[in-house]
Amino acid sequence: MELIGIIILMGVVTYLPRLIPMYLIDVERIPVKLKLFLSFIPYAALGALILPGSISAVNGKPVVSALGILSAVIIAWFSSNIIVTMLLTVAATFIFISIGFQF
Amino acid sequence: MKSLRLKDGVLAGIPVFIGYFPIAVTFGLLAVSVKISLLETLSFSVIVFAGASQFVGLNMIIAGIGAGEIVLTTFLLNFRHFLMSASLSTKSSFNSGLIPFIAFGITDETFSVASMEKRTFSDSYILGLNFTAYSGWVAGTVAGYLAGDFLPPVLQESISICLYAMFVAILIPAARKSFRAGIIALIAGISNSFLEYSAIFSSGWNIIISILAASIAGMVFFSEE
Repeated sequence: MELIGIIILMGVVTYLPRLIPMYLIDVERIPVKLKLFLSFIPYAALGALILPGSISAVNGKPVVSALGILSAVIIAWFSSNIIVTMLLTVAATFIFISIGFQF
Repeated sequence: MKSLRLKDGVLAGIPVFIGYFPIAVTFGLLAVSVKISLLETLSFSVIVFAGASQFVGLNMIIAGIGAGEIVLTTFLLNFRHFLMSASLSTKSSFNSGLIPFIAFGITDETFSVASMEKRTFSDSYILGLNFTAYSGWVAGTVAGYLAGDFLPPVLQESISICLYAMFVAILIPAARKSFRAGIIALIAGISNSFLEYSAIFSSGWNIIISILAASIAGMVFFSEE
């Protein structure tokens, strides 16, 4: 198959799961339990997106990655500004690598 | 209370833009190294618009793996968006004519930003958020393909933590306010770590199972706030 064909199919199978629930769910008529379940998905998704992926964020350097994420947690504890946390975390990680953490 | 509009959405999308750009640059670099054309590379980011699966897909193509398997892997890897899209649907009544455009831009990051927004928002808010994220992804892809390795190596390494820092930046303030939010995130994170370590299923399954398990646990143990 041509590369462009594969790309289009990848696009289709990515798009449909994003699209279909929006037509299926009627906010007005959704059972309370299901709504409660759906309201927890953001937190569950964030947890599963952060762990364990963040430990291998910096390729081949799990210690640097772990220190970086720990810094992010501490910074985010004190600042609710997303950009501030992102930039300070990158700066902290930059410092960890620069001062010679190899792993 | 005033509902959030286009401008608020664009502003909320800026952290996502910042997080996407360097990763998309890496995707552009990878594309150059495996010798696919700029148009093909751009098609990836414009049509698929899903970070991890683009890297995985491109690697599978290079490895000569068949189209069927590549498409199936992509589907599994991105199926978590089904849950996110369903969850987001309960936040707002979207205009059904705009749903095809809103749905296209739902990613881990745009979903996280929008779903943690406590204020009510209009369709234009979410379109602004998604479009800002999308432009970061597409612009970064082109920049990486054309400009090549323009970031110093240490900075490039440090930047790879950016999106994780963003997830943490969204989660921690929410977990500080709500104990149950923190517990559910922790359950999902531990479950996903365990599943990844055990390597029984693929990563796509692991994340879906973990999100479901933690949200179901929440539904069973917590009542409506």
